[in-house]
Amino acid sequence: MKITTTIVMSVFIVLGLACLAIAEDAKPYDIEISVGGSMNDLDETDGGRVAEYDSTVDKNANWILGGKVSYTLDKVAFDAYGEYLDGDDQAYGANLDLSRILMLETDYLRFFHRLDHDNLNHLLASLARSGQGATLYHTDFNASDNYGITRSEWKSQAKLNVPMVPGLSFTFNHRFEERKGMDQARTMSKCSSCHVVGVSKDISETTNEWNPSVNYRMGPISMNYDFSYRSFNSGSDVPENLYFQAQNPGAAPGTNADFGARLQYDQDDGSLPFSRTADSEKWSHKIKVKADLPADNKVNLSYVYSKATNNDSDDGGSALYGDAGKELSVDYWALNGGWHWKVNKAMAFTLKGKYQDMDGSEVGVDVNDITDVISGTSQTYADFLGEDFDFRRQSAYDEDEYSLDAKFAWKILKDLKLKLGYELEYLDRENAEYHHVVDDTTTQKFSIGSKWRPMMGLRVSADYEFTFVDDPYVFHNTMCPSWDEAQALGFAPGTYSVDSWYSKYVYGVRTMNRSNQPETVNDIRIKTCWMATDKINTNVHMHYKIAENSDAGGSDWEQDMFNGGLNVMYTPTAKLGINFGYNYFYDKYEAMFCSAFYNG
Amino acid sequence: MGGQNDKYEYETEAHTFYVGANANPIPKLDLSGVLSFTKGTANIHDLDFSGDPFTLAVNGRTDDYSFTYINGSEEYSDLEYVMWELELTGNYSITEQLGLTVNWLYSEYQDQEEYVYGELDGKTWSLSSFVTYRF
Repeated sequence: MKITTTIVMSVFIVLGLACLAIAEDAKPYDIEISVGGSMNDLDETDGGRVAEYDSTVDKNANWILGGKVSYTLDKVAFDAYGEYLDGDDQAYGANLDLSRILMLETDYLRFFHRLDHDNLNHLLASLARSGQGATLYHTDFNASDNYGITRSEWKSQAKLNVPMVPGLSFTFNHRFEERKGMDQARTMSKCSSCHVVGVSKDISETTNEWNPSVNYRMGPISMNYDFSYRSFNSGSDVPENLYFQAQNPGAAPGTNADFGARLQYDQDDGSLPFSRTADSEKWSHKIKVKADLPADNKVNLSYVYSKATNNDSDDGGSALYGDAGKELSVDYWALNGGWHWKVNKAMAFTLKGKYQDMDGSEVGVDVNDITDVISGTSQTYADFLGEDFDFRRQSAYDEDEYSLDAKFAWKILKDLKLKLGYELEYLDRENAEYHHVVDDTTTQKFSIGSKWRPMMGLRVSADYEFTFVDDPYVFHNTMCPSWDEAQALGFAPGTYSVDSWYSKYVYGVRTMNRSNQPETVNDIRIKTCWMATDKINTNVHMHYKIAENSDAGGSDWEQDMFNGGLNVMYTPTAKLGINFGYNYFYDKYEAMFCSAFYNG
Repeated sequence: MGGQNDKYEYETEAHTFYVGANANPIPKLDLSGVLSFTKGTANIHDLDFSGDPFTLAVNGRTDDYSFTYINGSEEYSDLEYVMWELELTGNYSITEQLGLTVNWLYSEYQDQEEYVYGELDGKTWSLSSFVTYRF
């Protein structure tokens, strides 16, 4: 940190001396340098929220160094800025414009974000009988660690307008993001979610994004080709957890090996990695054509293709997560079209259409074979069932989507504008049956809005939108196992046998569909701006939304949301300005809740 | 076996109030200040389980189960905090080239319902000052 501080201070000192020399000349230059310091104090308990994005308050004191330079001469313009508070709070940037032919821009920003530490103490569900071990407990292996991430982002852009070919330009964008620090990783230990553990995990992630494009405008037609490549690399720690020995909680330790035949992994598999962050990359190509047609018509058409790949899914398996055996990817392509028609001075019509197709890799997952045999037999559970636990995963990404969006704007009076809209979207999920969700969803939105100036100084806008979804995204039979149905299938209360499968008697008898997606939405927004006098300006805004889904099974799902506020600006004199405001936010969900008890 | 609650509510509320002013009391001096206050709450209501405690016997061992602790989630999920922030700034142009800026920032977060991340109370202040020279 001392080295960084020394380097940064040296840069500012050199810049200052250079400025003194430059300042001897006339004024194509504008230069500003700031030097100072800050005294700080932070008093917090468990990490605290009070300085969530402020790294400097951890120190008793820090430097404040800043500067700006701008230079304009003939057709050349350059400006740069910099601000340094500490190693985790810096910002720099520069622009260069050479005769509007070549334009370069770069910006760098670094800041620190304090993260929360889940102490896991809320995991309290337990047996009622005193003296028994809890059915859900936890271990935080790094209870005293504070978590936080330093995020750096460097964005650059270059644009070249080719002088010899009017209308032709090339653009190149680059973005580099780095996240470094420490966060909490959590996993379940023991046989299920009975024991949750937390450990600290060093984070080191980079994202690199390259985005060249070429643009060409020829008369009323403009064309654009845009290529993008993004890679994400994680050098973060992959924490490991030593899972507990498979053990029937009702038997003395070491006396019952039967659980080993039922578990995919336990202590015998050694420490197993969890909380992995996969490396990934994404390629995309976009072609867009726009044309200005006679009679105030404009049309556009674009095609997008992209492929996103998980580069680590072919790394081999583990007892914990099986082996996917190949890199998984999602292919996406879309066709967009649009037409805008300015009918006359008072009316305009816009129509947009889109088709998109998404396909995710289908993959066979090779699950680690359990070698322990069922107690008293020579069979594993795979032998007993006559099949292993390998499975084929059909991607939930596989879907086709069609959408249409029409808008009509009409200036009815000089001070009154009206707009009407209709949107239709049809979504077809190709693998819905494998994921127990609805096959297709049709969404329709009807909207009406207005902007009105009833008198000088007063503007009112009001918008209403009604959404109807048939059928919203719903998980079928996802909760509330039926005790009666389980018994009807043959499960005898208070008994246990090798046939007492959760898949049959718990998961198989779940009765309720669930969703947090609405079937209907009523959404209304009102906004007013009123300049009461030349010294008082006010605005009032209100947004109310009520969403319902009565198609989820069991009781309805509902959401009520309200957001409203008032802002007042009062300027009694040219030398005094006062402003104040109030905002209220309210959000309420109503839903159904089911909890199943599982016996160890 | 388990419990079922036909309808429970999760309610979130936030109030935010701010007042600010900027003034130019004498030539070359600009003053500004902002005070903001936020109070946020979130609660689960009506979370209840219709089932009674029950006993399950497995392999001759008897386990007693109760919804007592799960019903407690209504309380565990309560959130309530108050946040204050006051920032005062003064700029004085000593000469046309040289300016002085002084800034004081106070921020306080009162966590009134401890949640899964522990007690997040905290307060901080910082007093900053720097000179700016324009060439």
